[in-house]
Amino acid sequence: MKKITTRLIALEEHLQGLLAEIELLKMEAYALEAENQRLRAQRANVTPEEMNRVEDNARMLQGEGYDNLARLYQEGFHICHVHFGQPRTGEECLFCMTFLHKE
Amino acid sequence: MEFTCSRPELLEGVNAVIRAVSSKPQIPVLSGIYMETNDHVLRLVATDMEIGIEYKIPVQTNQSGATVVNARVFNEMVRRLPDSPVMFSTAGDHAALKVRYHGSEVTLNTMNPQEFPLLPTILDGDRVTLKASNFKEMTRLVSFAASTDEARPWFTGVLWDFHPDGLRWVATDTHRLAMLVGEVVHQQIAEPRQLILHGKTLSDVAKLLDDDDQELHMIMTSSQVLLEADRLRVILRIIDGQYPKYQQVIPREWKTRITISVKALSEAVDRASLASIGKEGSNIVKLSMDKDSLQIRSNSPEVGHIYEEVWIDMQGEPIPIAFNYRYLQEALRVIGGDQVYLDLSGTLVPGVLRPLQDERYLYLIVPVRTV
Repeated sequence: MKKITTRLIALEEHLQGLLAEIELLKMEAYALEAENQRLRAQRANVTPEEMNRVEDNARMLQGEGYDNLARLYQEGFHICHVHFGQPRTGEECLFCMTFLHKE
Repeated sequence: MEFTCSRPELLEGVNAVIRAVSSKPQIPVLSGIYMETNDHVLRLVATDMEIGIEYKIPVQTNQSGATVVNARVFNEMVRRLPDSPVMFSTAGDHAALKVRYHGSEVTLNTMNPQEFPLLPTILDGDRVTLKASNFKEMTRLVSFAASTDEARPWFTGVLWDFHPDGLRWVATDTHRLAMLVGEVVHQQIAEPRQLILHGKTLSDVAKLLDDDDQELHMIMTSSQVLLEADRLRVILRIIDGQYPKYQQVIPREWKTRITISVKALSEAVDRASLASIGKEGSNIVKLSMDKDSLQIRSNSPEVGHIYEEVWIDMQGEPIPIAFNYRYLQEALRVIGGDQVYLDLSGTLVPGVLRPLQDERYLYLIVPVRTV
């Protein structure tokens, strides 16, 4: 009978060891999940600073584009989609001016 | 073929179809007018393969038949005929055309009528019916704004913009734009569509419509348009190409509205144009304004300086602007009614002329930079 009691005590100790390991793994999984969530959020939400930087860049490019088109028109070329790039005859073009005004 | 008719009626028919005779015909037979008599009707046809015109006149037919005569010679001969009845006859398809009046006789060489390309019969397509008066109004108010530069064919045309609510006609040469809302009597169109028809040709067709009340029936296929009215049948080719989006260039609002007499403005621009014609003047008239008056200035080192003043009624703030005088002048010549609005939104924004009593029409002029 004593032999069985000894075996049960040994089994109990083994189970306690397993439970302790499960507890450790549980903590590690929790930490990984938290990190994953933080990374997802970081990827989805751009910070205001980053947003401003991107917008400034786009505005600069757009402004450059508008200025280039306006200069091209002044130099005597069509910038409207109808005759883009073709030389103007000297007179103003309704479609180019509407395009410039709209911009 | 043998028929008798009077000179005025025949001249009317020849005048109508001769517009379709090319000065440089692709094939010799196209230098001619096709004549066919049947059942007391003389059918005259001419075509340059771009436009085809058919005109019917009542005659006294003794014998049916067909022939083709040289258009230029026949036209000159008909003009010179006496006013009494004239008899025309051919002994066969290839025989000469004999023209008899009083005791005189003319014999004209003819061409083979079987070689003449007759106008196609168009039965299927979208259908529209208009009043001749409305069609003529369109050619008067819109066609002149089209370009004459054949290098950009779609701008030489008038756009027919069919939409569920009706029809809009638009013409532009990219420096000005005219738009008129059409009054359709009947419309049977599968889906909204746009087509471009040559502006000059439309004006020619309008000249052939003498009765303003008559109805003009149109059948439109993907490449051709048939116009039918009373004695007249015209086939026009649709100009290929996508018309630019004209709605984008029409300003939706105005900042300053000037109400002005059409006659007074027209006369002032006419006088001011004297000092803007020529190389130095660059065709520019400068407009400035205050509450009650519009000042028009033009300047040319060759001619001198002209200052005109016209009484106006103005809503909004003064906007100095400059226009090519020709674009103003041409519109003011055709706009009906006593008064017109000149709507401005900025020195470099197109000005819009709108007749006071007619919301169907507007005319846009691109301003000129003067600095």
